[in-house]
Amino acid sequence: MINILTAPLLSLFLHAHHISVCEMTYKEDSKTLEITQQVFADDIELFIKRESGNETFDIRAEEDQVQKYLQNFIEKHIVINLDGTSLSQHWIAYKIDGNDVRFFIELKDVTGSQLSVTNTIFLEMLGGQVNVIHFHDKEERKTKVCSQEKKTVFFDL
Amino acid sequence: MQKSTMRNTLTLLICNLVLFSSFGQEEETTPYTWQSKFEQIDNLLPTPNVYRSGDGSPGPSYWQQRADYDIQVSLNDDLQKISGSEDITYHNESPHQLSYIWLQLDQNIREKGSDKFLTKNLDFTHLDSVSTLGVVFNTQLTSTEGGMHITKATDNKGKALQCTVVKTMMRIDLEEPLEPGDKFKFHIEWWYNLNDRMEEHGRSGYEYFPEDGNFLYTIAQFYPRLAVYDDFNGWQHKQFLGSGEFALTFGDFDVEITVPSDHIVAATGELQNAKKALPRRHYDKMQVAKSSFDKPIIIISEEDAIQNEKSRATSTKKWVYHAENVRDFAFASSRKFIWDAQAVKLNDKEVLAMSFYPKEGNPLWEKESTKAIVHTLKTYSKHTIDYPYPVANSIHAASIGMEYPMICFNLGRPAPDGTYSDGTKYSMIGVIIHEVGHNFFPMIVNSDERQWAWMDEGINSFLEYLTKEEHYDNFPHDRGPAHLVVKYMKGQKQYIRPMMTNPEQVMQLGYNAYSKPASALNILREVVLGPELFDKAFKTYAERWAFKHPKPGDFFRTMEDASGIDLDWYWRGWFYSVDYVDISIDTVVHYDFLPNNLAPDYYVSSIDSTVAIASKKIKVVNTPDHYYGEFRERLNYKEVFNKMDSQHYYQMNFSNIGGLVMPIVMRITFDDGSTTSLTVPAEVWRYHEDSCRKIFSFDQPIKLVEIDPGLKTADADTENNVFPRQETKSEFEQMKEQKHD
Ligand SMILES: [Zn+2]
Repeated sequence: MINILTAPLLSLFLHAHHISVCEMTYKEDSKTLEITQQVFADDIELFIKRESGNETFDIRAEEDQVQKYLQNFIEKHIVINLDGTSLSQHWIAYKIDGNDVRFFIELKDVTGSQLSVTNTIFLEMLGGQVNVIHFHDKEERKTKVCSQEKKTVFFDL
Repeated sequence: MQKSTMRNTLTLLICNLVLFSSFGQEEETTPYTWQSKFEQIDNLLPTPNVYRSGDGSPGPSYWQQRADYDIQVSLNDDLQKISGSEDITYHNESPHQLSYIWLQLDQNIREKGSDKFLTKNLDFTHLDSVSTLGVVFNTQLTSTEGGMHITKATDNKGKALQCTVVKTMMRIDLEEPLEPGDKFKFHIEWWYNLNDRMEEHGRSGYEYFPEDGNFLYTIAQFYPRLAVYDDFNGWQHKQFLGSGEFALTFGDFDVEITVPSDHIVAATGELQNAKKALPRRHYDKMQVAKSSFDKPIIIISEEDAIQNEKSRATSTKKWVYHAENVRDFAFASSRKFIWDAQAVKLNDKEVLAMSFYPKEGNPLWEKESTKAIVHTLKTYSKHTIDYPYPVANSIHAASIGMEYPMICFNLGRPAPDGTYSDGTKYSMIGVIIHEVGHNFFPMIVNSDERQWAWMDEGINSFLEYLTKEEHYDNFPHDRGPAHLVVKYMKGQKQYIRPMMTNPEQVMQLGYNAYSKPASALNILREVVLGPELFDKAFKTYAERWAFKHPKPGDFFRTMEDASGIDLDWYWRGWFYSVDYVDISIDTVVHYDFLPNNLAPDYYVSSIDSTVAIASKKIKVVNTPDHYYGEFRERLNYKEVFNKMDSQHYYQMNFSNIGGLVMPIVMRITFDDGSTTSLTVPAEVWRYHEDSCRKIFSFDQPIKLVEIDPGLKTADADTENNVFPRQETKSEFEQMKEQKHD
């Protein structure tokens, strides 16, 4: 049978374990948080088709046709608070690599003690979706998982 | 003789020193547990016997069963229903007496209360209509009467058989045991309701086109099929749950398909009554196509198909097919089909490549489908055996890709205005190559799909990659190249299973059974064995097991036996473990040898610097007399020194961080900018799986060492692949800079 990665509709029924990976790197010197979020191209294409009602949405189309959808998507589904105050995102870019789409966003003036990360990517669309978050600072890498049951995780700065 | 003995003694001495010094260092680092990464896998494979040999070939007493089918099937276009009758001749080629036989009733996964539904993990997530309908089906609220209804089962004298349906299988208890060499003839009649693929999904069913009121049927798993009985499992009794595909017995098929008389049919096998079934002009075009080797010939044009869509025949027509030595039979039927065909020459064989698609598939399908079939047959035949069947069909069916012998159902549909993106085009070509490719794995080299998905999906995805590379420029691969599997392999271990896991238990099946094996074979071919050794061994596997039932051990053993290379470590790492590849070059130190009048410096303190290649000066001293043992002759240290003097010596220390042992593929850059490549075989890790040290000599100084510069080994961390370490920009930083440019 076909690789289910390339059959979005089928994947809803046959594919129980979708995983997205989010790398967050805290840069002490510049007080910035660099975020690289990876998702599957098919999943996000399907999601945006459904959310926007634009049935012909094509993730591989020209950037000017795609970016605003992607930017909306990521702003809605990755919400980061610093000690209770929400931080605004600075959009950098997106990149398609095979069946991966990666988003690059940056948060500035990150000074405080605790970050809360709410990552709801596809949690409502796909049963069994998990969003893995790797948080790196100077010393270490911590890994936490956002899921249907637990949408928000915390990291100490 | 004497000389070589002495050399051995000296080698021994050096070994002792190395062992001694490494022992000393070991104490300072974290304790290391041996994980037997180089142990043979004999204990994981079945003991060779008369049925399956230790070299990976079928043994001298290899046997397999056979089932010949004579099927009459009719498609009810008003009720979307299949009804059929079949006469099966089951040949017991085994050395065993059989008191019962098992059949597969795959349609029963659509029955109320089936294990597919009962074992499915579900939660309320997004409640759009498609997802909700999925919940409805899964919780049994559907009113569709799914599943196969057996209405008659008799022996060839008309006497009722004793049948017991067990979920997706049916056992027939034989009145008289079936002796080795004997055959059992019996008759079954049945019907079932077809599923709407858009609502219920599945490998087969129908798609409805509301604009013109027509159906496009893709019919498979439509008849009770013999389960496999073999030397390995006895009866393959793993129930059908949906993910693990099929295990089937080879045989000859004679099939009569009755459909509305204005339908066009495509099926496994050769059409026997073409003259009768086809209008004269279509028949004539088909004859032309049989000698058109350079381009497809349109047999039914888009205009013809649009005309035909408007027809509503009340009469029926029979399409008669014959197929030899196939493990299954499937067909497609619709008024909507456009049809084109091209002949392919493979040595002394001529094959007809054919595509059937509704107008909704154009203009993409008329351009790409048949071409993709031709490419597939050529590349796969080269690497395995010449495609043995007379036809290869590609049928357009929305949103799936599914394979059967000589016929497959493939996605790839342009927007309603006929435009399509590159993404749609390449995924369509990829799916056609993949599904046509399945003719070889598992339709011909007939592994047990229900047990091992990588043996068909993975091997097939690997050849799919080779086909795209050979016939398309810059094909945007989504699997195959080594680097595309890195993210998955270094991901969270809790979501990863070894490739040697049953497909029903695998998480991330797409990576596990398609991408990882495709990359694993690609790396085995390009990095470990080289194309020449790999291709010979791989072809040997295909030749040995064509039209037979291979198991994983038969593949592993053949690949080693025919290449002459012990690959047990490779199977262990890639197939049995969830390790990933990350080799680090930790230090590179340049050693200069001093003339004897300077102070000696035997022991080199460890050098941690990763920013530059450190230089150390050491000297050769005379070996103390007692190390020579009984030898009377002595080496002169000055002569030894002179032999070394013209060369530059470098010690390099490596560590294996990812756990998967791999060859160390290196590129060395010299001071003058010239480069050389060298590869250290994976066996370098056999004493210590997590670290190794090597000394290399070059005739000029070096300035840079890179591991895997071509990204051919799926090494997960490329920063530690370069020495001296270089300031590398993260992908994030690169993207940020690009944005500012
Ligand atoms: Zn497949």
